[in-house]
Amino acid sequence: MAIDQTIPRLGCGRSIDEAWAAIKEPPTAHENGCVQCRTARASLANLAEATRRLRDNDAEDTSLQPHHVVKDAVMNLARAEVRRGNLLPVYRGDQGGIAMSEQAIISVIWFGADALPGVRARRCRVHPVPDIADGPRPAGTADISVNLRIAVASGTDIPGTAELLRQRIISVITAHVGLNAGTINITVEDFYDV
Amino acid sequence: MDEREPVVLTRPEDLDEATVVARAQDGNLEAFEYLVEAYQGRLFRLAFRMLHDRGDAEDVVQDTLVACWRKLPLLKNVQAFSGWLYQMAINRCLDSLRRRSSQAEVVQESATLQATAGSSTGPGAGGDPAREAEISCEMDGLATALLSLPPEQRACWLLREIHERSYAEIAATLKVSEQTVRGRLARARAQLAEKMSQWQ
Repeated sequence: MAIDQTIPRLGCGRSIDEAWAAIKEPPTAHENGCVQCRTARASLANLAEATRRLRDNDAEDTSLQPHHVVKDAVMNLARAEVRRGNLLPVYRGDQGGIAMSEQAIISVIWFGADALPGVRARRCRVHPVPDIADGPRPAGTADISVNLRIAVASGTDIPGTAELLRQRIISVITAHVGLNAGTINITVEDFYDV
Repeated sequence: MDEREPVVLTRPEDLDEATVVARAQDGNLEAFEYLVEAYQGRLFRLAFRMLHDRGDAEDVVQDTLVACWRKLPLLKNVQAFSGWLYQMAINRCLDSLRRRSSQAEVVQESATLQATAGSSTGPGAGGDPAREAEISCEMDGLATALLSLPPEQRACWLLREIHERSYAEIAATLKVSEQTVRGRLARARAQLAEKMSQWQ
């Protein structure tokens, strides 16, 4: 579709945009003397008022909400298609092994990070560190590596906070998952309060 | 701290939106549900004013939010979340109108507008029933006039005037230049102002 780039103009040559931009200002000498400008100003001011009313009304109008079945359908689908990430082997013994979803481990990491003031844990990836030993191993000896992206409050001591965060992640993973955290890479991607 | 306390995450309402989006990207359903609740009304209002049909507007909201869940991991910039959501919703509105355009579109009379039925107490009417009726009529007039605009102009106008998005955001949402956005907005305003003044 060819797009017409021309902005509508009044008979006196002014563009609608100029008239619109000036409706909150007192009329200029030209606007006072030009019938077309006066008419355009009046009808644009009228439109601006009706627009404001429609915006306020729509924002407050409780009938302008989708029926709750919409949200229910969306959430049911999201639960049916929930993303658990990869499965990580947590324990291998003679009788079989235990695996844990990446998402469950990420929740534990977020929980650990949430306790630190000024830190917001965002996207996280967890990888098993390749086994060196071939044989069975006791629980708690597998290693995982963590890549965590965070946002911090402005004014945060980033090196100090990152070290505290690393210690927190190591301790929650040990306590809740029974794994050793190997490498923990922390990326500060944002200030969340700026 | 007791390291074995239950794993309870900070509630989404106590986090910044970008963090909530990131957690939803990593599959956290509570974060996603929070985003659904935060945006479903806005998306519905956009789709309803685009399509003027509750059922079609609800379909757009549902399709948009389902697509949001499925494509969320691919969103690179969490700051762009709201624009991305608006973009998916507007595209679905335009598709819906294209499907309709094979049938002649009948613009309903404003009397059948469900949007303002019984719920609009015109701001600033000061409890004057005659003034309230006038304001309600004015809003219905604008809502009806809006339906006479070409869909792309209507989308521009709604995103700017009702949803208060910046020119740059609207340009990104509609995949056109800011210059095109300005042109469409100016034409939409000129046409709406003209229509409104016919009813004075």
